[in-house]
Amino acid sequence: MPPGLRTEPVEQMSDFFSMGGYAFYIWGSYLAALILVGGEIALLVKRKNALKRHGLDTAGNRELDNDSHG
Amino acid sequence: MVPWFAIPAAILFLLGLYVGFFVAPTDFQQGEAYRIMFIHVPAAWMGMLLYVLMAFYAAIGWAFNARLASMMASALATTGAMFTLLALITGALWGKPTWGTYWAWDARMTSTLILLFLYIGFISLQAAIDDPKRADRAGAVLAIVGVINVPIIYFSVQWWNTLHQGATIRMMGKPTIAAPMLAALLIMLAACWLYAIAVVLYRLRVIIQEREQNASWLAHGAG
Repeated sequence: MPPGLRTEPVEQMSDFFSMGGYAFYIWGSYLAALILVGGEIALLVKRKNALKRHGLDTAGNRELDNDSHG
Repeated sequence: MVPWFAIPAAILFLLGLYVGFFVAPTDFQQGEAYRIMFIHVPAAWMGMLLYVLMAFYAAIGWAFNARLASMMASALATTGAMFTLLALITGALWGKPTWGTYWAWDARMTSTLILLFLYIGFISLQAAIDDPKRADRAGAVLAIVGVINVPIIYFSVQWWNTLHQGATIRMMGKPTIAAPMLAALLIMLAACWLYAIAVVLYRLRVIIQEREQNASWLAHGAG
């Protein structure tokens, strides 16, 4: 095995998930990352959708205006 | 253009996690706990770099009355704040098992918390002012003044005797970690960059449309 690699390959899933007793801290960190990134994307999509709704409304108004002018 | 950054970002996140968890060895000092590094360090770097970028665009927008640059600054703020918050959370989760405490009023942690407050201040200030032009100007002042905090964070570990460890990766000289650890860290950093570009470009587009809509609504209402 080349130097600098894991000396013991991951054999037991339970060993992997226990992270040598640091499971809470390590998985907690990556869970926090997932929640924050997911949250940011969700908020952004929500903001975009609010825009679309608003856009449809103004498009509707414009149509009405065109009708009244016509 | 957004998917061109978002898809590679997702691939690199997965690759970085694979290298970080399955290839990189266990640290002889910290055991497995050091694996928090792969998310903590890129998040902290992004928090600082995005702040500098935000202040830069805000300054350009202010100095040259370039509205697009100001909108870019606004688009950067939320993502920068998100990464800074992530750096603080993962830092706390790393601090507990290695230092025995989630939080200490150490120079680096305190200055990073101030960075988060600067982002929040920038976002709330812009949200509080209705006129986009005035909001951009007020935000720019805050962003530019606050940029002084970034070198303070960066050099805090040298200037003060901090609980936080010194830099692992330096501009000059060899990094002090094993090659697969460094590889995982750099892949995660690249993933964070691509993610930030994708999200910021998307938000920039939304901000542009929002302002156009507001402007047309105002014109409509006035006419």
